[in-house]
Amino acid sequence: MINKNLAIQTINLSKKFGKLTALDDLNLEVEPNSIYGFLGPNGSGKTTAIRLMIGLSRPSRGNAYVNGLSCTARRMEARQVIGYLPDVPMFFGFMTGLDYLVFCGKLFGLSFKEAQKRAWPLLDLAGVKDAANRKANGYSRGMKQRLGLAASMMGNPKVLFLDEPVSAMDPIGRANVLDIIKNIKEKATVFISTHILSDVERVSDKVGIIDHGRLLVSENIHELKHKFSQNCITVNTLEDNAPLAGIIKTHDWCSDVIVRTNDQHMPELVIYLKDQIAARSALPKLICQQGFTIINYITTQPSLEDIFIKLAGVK
Amino acid sequence: MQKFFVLLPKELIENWKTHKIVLVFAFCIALGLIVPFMADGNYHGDPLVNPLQSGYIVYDFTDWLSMGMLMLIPFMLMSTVAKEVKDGLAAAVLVKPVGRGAYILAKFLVSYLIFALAVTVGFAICYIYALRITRPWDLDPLSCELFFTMLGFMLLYTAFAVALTIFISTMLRNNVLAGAIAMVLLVAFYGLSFTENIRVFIPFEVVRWGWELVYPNAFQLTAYPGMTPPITSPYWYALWITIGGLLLAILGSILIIRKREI
Repeated sequence: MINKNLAIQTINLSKKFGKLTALDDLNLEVEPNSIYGFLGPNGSGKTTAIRLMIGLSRPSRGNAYVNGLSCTARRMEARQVIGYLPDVPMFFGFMTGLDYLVFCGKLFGLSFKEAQKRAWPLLDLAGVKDAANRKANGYSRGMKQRLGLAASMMGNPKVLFLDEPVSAMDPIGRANVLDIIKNIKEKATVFISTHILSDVERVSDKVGIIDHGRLLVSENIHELKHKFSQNCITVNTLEDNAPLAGIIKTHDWCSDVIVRTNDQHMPELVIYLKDQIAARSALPKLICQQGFTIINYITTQPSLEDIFIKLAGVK
Repeated sequence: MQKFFVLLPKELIENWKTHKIVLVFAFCIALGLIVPFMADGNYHGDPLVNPLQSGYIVYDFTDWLSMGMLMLIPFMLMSTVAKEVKDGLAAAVLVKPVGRGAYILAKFLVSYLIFALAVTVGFAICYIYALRITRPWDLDPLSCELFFTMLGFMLLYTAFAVALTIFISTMLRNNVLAGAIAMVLLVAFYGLSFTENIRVFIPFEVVRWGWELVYPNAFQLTAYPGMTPPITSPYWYALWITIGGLLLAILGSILIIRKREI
């Protein structure tokens, strides 16, 4: 059922390349004026999903709607409200940054003067105003992403698709661009595809996690964390605790254990519990009986990374 | 439609800044100057060709030009669509509210315009230069009507070659492969134009038709040993196949780009 009030809606969206199913029955909904973080490991189908939603690719089954407009049947109208930043923005070698923005503006129906008038503030916002009259192909990777972001906004889009928008930027640049993205929310819906989880955590209202072409979860980020946090304990030990994980997993009160090293390079176990009450007494005793020295033992709200790893199964 | 007129200047500027316009014009103008100069040098004083005839020089020019175009058109246009799709530039344009048909038509129109103008300028230079150097001897200078007829056939064949190359560039992602295939096809058409039974259907024959209209004028005072008398025959099949092929190539390009994953 098409809901015209949604900014983005996909209904059984699927894509096959021969025998390979790149996307399998994607059903997601994005509210207007929100930021949706689309997460997944490499090759999970993120870019395929975006390309279907912006009309560069045709679905094998199902459909995608942007602002209630079908991305297949009403492609031209849908493109009028879409802005897109690809993961590797490319520019015509003979164009300067300003030329490219003006060209984009004209393709959206602006006159030359209108396009110039719109381009300069966007170049300033994106932080490439000083390089506006330089050939775009001579920009650094980070500058190209910024120029691409500015270009994606030339048409005053209602829905902005950003594929890895900050992957090539330094930390300061990344923070700056993420702030820009947060502010865009007031005028447009933003759909970010990335595998930088901290960025999604920072700006997104809703998160979708995809793996092997299937959407594993699509939920408000706080509700998602709350759902996973209720039964989660993080334990740091002095010794390498990988053998301990196997022992803990055998108990009924445990649903899953993730082994990792924390930022201080200490061995860490993230233990997901089925029965918090049973684990409360059994777990500390078990760890000590096995000869491990507990340094930290805390109930935690898992990070998005933890949830991502748990759902996508990436170690 | 408005977006089409945004794409046209972009294509023109791109061809200018990447020096394609300069190269094509340089080739045609150089040929237009060299061929009469060579003819003057080779045949001046030759009792068999003397009086030197403007028709022969223009005939010679189209011979060289048509062979040059077999390589120049695929070389210049092989990247037109293929490389843009491969580099993601086509996606950067087509993700905006731009029709895919407008995208292809703009490329065809600008590419053809460049070649057509260059061919016309080269022809004109050759014709004027030829008339000048043959004036003392040519009893029947090549008329304007014949000149424009030859030019018209050459422009028609150029349009076909441009459309064919763009069609192949649209089909493939590899621009070098696209150029190679286009060149092979055009050379094949040229080669097949020498076979007796099927040449009347081959697009290259429209160029030959132009030659044969000029032939009596070019060779009326010539008595080269072994030279056969001119045979002027209408090449209507070749004409309609060239026009049909040109339209099908453009239409095919539009249909392919519409269906294609960008």
